[in-house]
This record gives sequence, C-alpha cells and structure tokens, in this order.
Amino acid sequence: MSRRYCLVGNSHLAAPKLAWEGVRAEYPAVRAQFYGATRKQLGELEVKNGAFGAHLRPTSKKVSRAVKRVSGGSDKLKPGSFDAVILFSLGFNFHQAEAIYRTHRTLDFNGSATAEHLVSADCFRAALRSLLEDSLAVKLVRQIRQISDVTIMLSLQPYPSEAILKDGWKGWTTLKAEGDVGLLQETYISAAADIAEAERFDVIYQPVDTLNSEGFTKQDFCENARRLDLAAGDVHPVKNYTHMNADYGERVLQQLFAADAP
Amino acid sequence: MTKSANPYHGLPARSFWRTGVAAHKDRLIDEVYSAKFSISQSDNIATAGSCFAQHIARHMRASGFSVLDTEPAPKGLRGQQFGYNLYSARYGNIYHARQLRLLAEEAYGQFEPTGWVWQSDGAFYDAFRPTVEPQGLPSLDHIGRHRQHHLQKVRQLFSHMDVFVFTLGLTEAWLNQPQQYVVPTAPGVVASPENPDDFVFKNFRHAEIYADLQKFLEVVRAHNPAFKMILTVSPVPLVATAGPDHVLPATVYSKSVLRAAAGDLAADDPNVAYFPSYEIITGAQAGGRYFEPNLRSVTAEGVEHVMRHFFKAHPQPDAPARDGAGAVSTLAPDTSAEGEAEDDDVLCDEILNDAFLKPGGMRGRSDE
Repeated sequence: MSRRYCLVGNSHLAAPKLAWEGVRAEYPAVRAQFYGATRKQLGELEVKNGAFGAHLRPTSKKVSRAVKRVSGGSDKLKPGSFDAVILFSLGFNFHQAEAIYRTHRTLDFNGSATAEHLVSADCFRAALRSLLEDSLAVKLVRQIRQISDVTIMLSLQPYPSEAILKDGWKGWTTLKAEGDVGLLQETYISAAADIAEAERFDVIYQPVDTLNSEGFTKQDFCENARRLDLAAGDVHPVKNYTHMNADYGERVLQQLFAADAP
Repeated sequence: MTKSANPYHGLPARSFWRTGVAAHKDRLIDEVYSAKFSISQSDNIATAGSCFAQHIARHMRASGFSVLDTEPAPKGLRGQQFGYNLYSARYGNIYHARQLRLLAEEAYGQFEPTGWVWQSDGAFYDAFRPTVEPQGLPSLDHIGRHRQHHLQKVRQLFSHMDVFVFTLGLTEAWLNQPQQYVVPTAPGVVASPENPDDFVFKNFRHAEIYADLQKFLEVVRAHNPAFKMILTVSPVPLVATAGPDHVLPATVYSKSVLRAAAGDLAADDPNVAYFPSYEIITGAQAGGRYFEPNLRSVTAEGVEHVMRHFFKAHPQPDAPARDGAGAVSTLAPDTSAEGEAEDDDVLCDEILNDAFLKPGGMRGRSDE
C-alpha cells in the first residue's frame, strides 16, 4: 500500500531531503513531496480555496520561487493530496526552553540557586508554551487544520550538537554544568506533547541513537550538514551546531516511516 | 484706619474656580500640577500602588522614561500573567500605605511576618500577593524561597530607584492583628490563613496612613537617601465596603483620607510631591465622563488626559528606547521585551470582592 507524504520545513528540511535521495529505493511504496523555504518565507503562506482545491500558497513571487526550487515545481501545498504532512522544526525547538532557562529557573532545577530570576513551574511552562505556540510550525498546523483533517506530524528540531559544549557557548555549558539538561528536556517534551494534543498533531521525537548520553546530538550527525537551498551553497559553517546531515535525515525518515506504517 | 489689602487680589488664574477650573472643561487644566522636582531620562523610576498605578507605569514606559523592572517576565510570557509587567517588581497591587511600609521593612530585614502563607486546595499562596501565582505553589519550602527571592528584588529596586511613583488606593484593609500587617485580599477570597481569626477589618485613619508613609521613607532613605516620591490617589471607587456605611460615602471617606495624607506629606517633605490624578478624573470639570458605564473603571481617554498633565510637567524623553514599549531598565540582564502588556486592562485583586455581591443587590461581606 502506497503512502504519500508532504515534508515541509525550513533549513532543517535539508537533512531528510538529502537522505531521501539515498534511501528512496528502499521505500518503493512511499511518495515524498518536499515543500520548503526559509522560516520567514514559509511564514508568508496563505490559505486558499480555489479551483485547485483547498491549499496553502505563497503570497509573493519571491517565496513562490524559493518553494519551487525545493519542491521541484509546485508552489502549492494541498494537504488533502497526502496521507500525512510532516513538518520539520519550523522554529519549534529546544532552544526556546534554553532561552528561558538562561534567566529564569524553577526550584526544581539544580541551577535554581544561580538563577537571576526564580519562577514557578507553572510560570516556566506557560512561558515555554507561549514561545512554542508562536512558532511557525504551530502556525502552519493551524493553517492546515483550517482546510484539512490530514495527519500532521512534527519532527522536532534536533538538539544541538555536543560540540556546542566544547566550543564554550555559555548558555549551553551552564545548562550542562548545572546538570539540568535532562529536566529541561523533560519540560520541553511535556510542553510539546501538550501543544500537540491541543492542536491535533503527532510529535516525532529525535531518534535516540542520534543522542549522546548527555542529551546532545552526536557530532557525527552534524558534520557537513548541507543547506536546504543547494543552489545557494554548500555546507553550514563548522560552528553551526543545530543543522544535521543526511545520515541524521536517514534516521529520522526511518523512524517516521516506521511510526506511520499502516 | 488703613484698609487692609484684599488677599485674593492679584492671585493667578489657577487660584480661582472660574478661571482655574470652569474654563478648562475640555482641556488641560493649566497649572493643576507643577513639578516639584524634575525627572530626567536617566532617572530610574519605580512604580507601585493600587491598580490605577498600572496605567501610570505603562504610560511612563511607553513615553521613554527609564522604568525599572527588577522582576522581568520570562521570555515568551504573555501580557500580565503571573503578576509580571504590572509594576517595577512583582509585588502585585499595593493598596495600602501599611502594605508598602511593611514591604520595605521586610525587604530590609526589619520585619518578619508570620501567618502570611495561606492555603487553598492543597496549594500555598503568598498572602501579600495572592494572585501572582494563580494555582499557588506546591510547598511551604517553595513559597518561602519565592518570597525571599522577591524581597531581594524589592530591596534591589528600592535601593536603586531615583523616583518612586506610588498610587494610594484604599483605607479599608484586612489587618493581621498580632503583627499589624495588611493583605490585599480578604481571607477566603483567594486562599485562607491558618488562623482566620487573626485577621480583622480595619479602616485606616489619616494619622496612620501619614505615619506609614513617613516610616516607608525613613526605611528606604536609610539605604537610598536621595530618592524622591510622587504620590497619587487612585480615582477608582471602592468595589465594595466592608464597613457599616453605604459604599458611596465609604468611598469618599477613603479617598478623602488618602488625599489628605498624601497632601500633608507632600507639604511637609521637600522630596515628596503630590500629583492630582484623582482630581483630574473625579473633579466637577470632568463631569464624570472619564468613567466607564460602571462608574468605576477609568476610561482610556481619562488615563491619557491624566498622563498629559503629568507629561506637561515632566516632559517626555525624546524617544522611546525600544519599539514603543518604552525604556525598561531591569538592573539585571534585559529579558522583558516579550512580555509587555498587551492592552489597557488592569488587574485588580480588589475586584475579587465583587464576586461576593449577592443576587438582588444585597451587600455581601468580603470575608464571607
């Protein structure tokens, strides 16, 4: 039985897109359509009901051109044409939790004693939830839900590479030094699950084998990560710790197809 | 026999009702307020008080003044949730002079209250700011550590502010008899104390309010000798009275006492000024038009009218520091930009008393 997927994303779509080229032969029943552009550009989609049926489309020629480069032709996203729409990252990420943690911590964190501001767990969760709800991912979910009941999955943005610690990025080294990575990730996952239930989408978590014991992405999966718009270039800079490579994309696709197996 | 000079002869227009008030029905009232001291762009301003003070804080921020916020909201938090983005610290509404005085004393280690942890449905509440955590906190340890953290931020605020704008709101209070402190909501409204009988209704008198304000100045000046204070009185009537009188005379009594105490302190202390927001909203020249149909809430137009008078005497700095949100100096790393107030709503703990109004218009006691 064939399955039709629309994979939507910003720069983080590059990993599964590159991976797909290498593994598509292993999944003869899968049809994958990629739909991507920068986060800002994808924020300019609008819902339309026309001769083409209910769909999302760019509001400008510039965005249209960007989407066509990734999709290979069409600039329209018609959710009803697919068995599932899979969103990649789109601003829904752990960095939002880390950004709050830098300045505001609850007593549950080991680092509460060094927190600039102490907040309740309710308050921390509310702030995190607001940030995640404001992400482009949730905006797109809401747009799709206006016109379709299609299955929507959100593949969470990978945790940053473990190299971010070695290179001494302060917020992250503090998080690690305080021993709060695990609890912050639990808080983030819990918020993601709550939002997913409220907004009616499924969460695809990062494949466990891509993580090191401290909850960061193994550096192997970050090496030579490519940009989404291949015409624009090549690999991400060495000190880009958030974009992953085709190997990572392959792990994600394997997990995804397994999760959605009929 | 020499005829003495008429003492009213030669007085300025502001001294006469006809020229000072009646002629200004639809305009700014000339010289209704003259700045006793100036506020510069670099002055650190702190705000506190009853819910009307939230308007003042917001307008000062929007106008580019450097308004302190020692307890900024975490990134992402919306509006005024969890008591953020209301005042210069997360103390919620401070309706009473006694509440302000004891906050300062507690912050500087001169007062240690007991019985301030209240409970509801197994959660713990800080009786001095019961609405900042809508679901309460999970343990005594949590509530104690959160209060200590808050007091540290209040101490930081009081020690660094240059100008403190405080709006007096109420004389009626719920007083803890053993320790003579007051709380902003009656026992049972949000949560309940361990010993409800410790709390009694109290209507503060002029002398008490004057003394509390003086003591506040004394406590803070020991750490920050140069700060100045601008007092205002909230024009918002009582939502309910727990005293024996009708709510209308109870309101007028309360506002009159507050007004007199503020005026006396401003007259006695060179570093205290009185700004007449109360008169601008409630005076005969306003004809009641600055109140919403409930005759209680002040309209946005009224607030703007008040602030125009304020900014006429205290010219606004040239430009807001940040995207119209105004300058928000935190004394700490700036993290508050995401949580600016979104609208003109003000949060009043006092309004909770309205829930006790019985059907048919009978007055309900707020401790029922």
